[in-house]
Amino acid sequence: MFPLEHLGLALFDGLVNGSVMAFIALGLTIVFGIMNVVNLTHGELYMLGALTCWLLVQSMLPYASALIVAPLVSGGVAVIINMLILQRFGHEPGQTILATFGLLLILQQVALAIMGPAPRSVQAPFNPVIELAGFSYSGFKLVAGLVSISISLLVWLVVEGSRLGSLLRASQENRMMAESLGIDTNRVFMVGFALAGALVGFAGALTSPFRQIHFLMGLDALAMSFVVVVLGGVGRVGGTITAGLALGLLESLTALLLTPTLARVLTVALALLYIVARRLGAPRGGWRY
Amino acid sequence: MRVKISALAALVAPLALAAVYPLLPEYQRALMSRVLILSIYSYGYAVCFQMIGLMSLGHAALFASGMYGAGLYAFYVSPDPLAALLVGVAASTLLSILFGLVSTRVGGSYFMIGTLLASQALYLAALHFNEVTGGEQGLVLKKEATIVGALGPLLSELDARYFTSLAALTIVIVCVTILSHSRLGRLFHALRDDEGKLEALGYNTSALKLVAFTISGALSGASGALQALLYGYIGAGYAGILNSVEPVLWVLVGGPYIQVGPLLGCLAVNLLSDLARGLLRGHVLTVGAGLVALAFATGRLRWAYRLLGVSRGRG
Repeated sequence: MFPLEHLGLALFDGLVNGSVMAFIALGLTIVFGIMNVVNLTHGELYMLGALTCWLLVQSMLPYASALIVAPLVSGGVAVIINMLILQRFGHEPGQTILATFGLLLILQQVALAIMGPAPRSVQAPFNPVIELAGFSYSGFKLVAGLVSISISLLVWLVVEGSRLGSLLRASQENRMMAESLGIDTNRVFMVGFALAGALVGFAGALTSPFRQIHFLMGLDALAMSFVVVVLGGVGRVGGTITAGLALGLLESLTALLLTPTLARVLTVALALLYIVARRLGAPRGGWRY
Repeated sequence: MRVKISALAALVAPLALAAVYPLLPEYQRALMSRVLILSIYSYGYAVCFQMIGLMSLGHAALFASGMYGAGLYAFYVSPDPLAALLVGVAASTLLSILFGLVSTRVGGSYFMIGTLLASQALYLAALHFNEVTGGEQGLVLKKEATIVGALGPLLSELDARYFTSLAALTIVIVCVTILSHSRLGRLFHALRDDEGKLEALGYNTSALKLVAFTISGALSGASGALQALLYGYIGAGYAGILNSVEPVLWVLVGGPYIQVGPLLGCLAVNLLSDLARGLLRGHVLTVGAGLVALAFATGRLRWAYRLLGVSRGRG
């Protein structure tokens, strides 16, 4: 009893949603995947991007300005968090998780104080309805999807092919060695945080015209980003993009049969199953060492 | 000697809590009853975090499964608080086996991510089935389905809540104290300190982890079930992420003695947060600021550092 008439729309919407999902997860791939820092504020940086967008549009500034200011705000907050807090304990995992969890709650409350508990929305600057084979689609969302996938591919090229990418990997894999080769690893981490924050802040502004802006929106973004990063293979930017697209498709297709929330539950459960099946983080050959 | 003093303190604590009750004003009595229920959760969390050194970020799911198990049973099946309590504990025990299985197969930060995802999935599921669970708004149980209702002829609502939770907490404290001095408790500590050596000595560390999680889940679920049956309300809010991270704070604040630490930490954090209500715009900010402060303090607290360091060592 598959609703075939909606299949085209579902596939298309899945691809667009998938590109956006991959784009949101991109920053986490850099910080968690490559730099191995469990940054639980990632979702809140996304929320900050959307919040900045809402504030700017509220104060009668053009939507385009948000695309410049939001990355600066989120990137700036990410750098401040790294400099004032995470760097102080050398990105030690236990302390990092405690601190970023605390910051997650604090940022949520700051957002609550600014925009209140009601969901907010932003008008899209342009939104022509595009007629595609058998269904119509929001023009703005299509552009947002295209922008997401283009920037994601660009970041992939940068991380895989440039010196920055190898510096990031080197600083994580052997910090001492990198330092003795004259690399300022603190600065490398700073650049990583700034890049990740700016990307996810941009994503926040880009997606706000077609998503609800709410002070708790970061949690879902965080969980989904972890799902995408883990399923794509930790540290692999290309994998993140593929996993984002695949999950976007999977969610739209399951949402045809079930509800979107249940589709989300299944996606998260799938990621959990993958983590357990692959024994991620467990020492090789079981726990024996 | 230190161990004996902490065991003694564990026995004195419930007496002190009973003795202090008549001295408290009404508002503090109500506040303390809630904190006592949460302390049971705190002990439950400590069994896996403090005893075997695994930091779960999804215990809210265990708490909530106890709450839903008990609450839904009392709401839909039969208004019998005692049976509902058992159903709640059974539900969370079953779920904790899943957490335990995750812990035996996944290490380091993936354990935290995995438990976080597990609880997020259950939270979303609770929202999805809102026709049954009441979703975010929750369900209100009939008075006769709650413990307060059952004790109605004997005790006032306030007294019933306080003394039921104190009685349950006392049982939990005694059990955890016995556990921490038992052979099993020492094996848990060995597991935390050096899993490889314990395994080399021929112990089945996976089974030990499963047992620890089962105990932890049963206690967390008992806390959730009591919460449902004493206040007559169940809601998806309790399955949220805040409820997962609060016990981390309680246990770390409580200090290294598991016999009293979880109680002291839970009391300290919740009473402080209540005092700071006006200053910090609420509980969530207090918890957030507390976590950041703890992350800094951990560098100086050798005990806390070791606990967190252990989670790292498995990465």
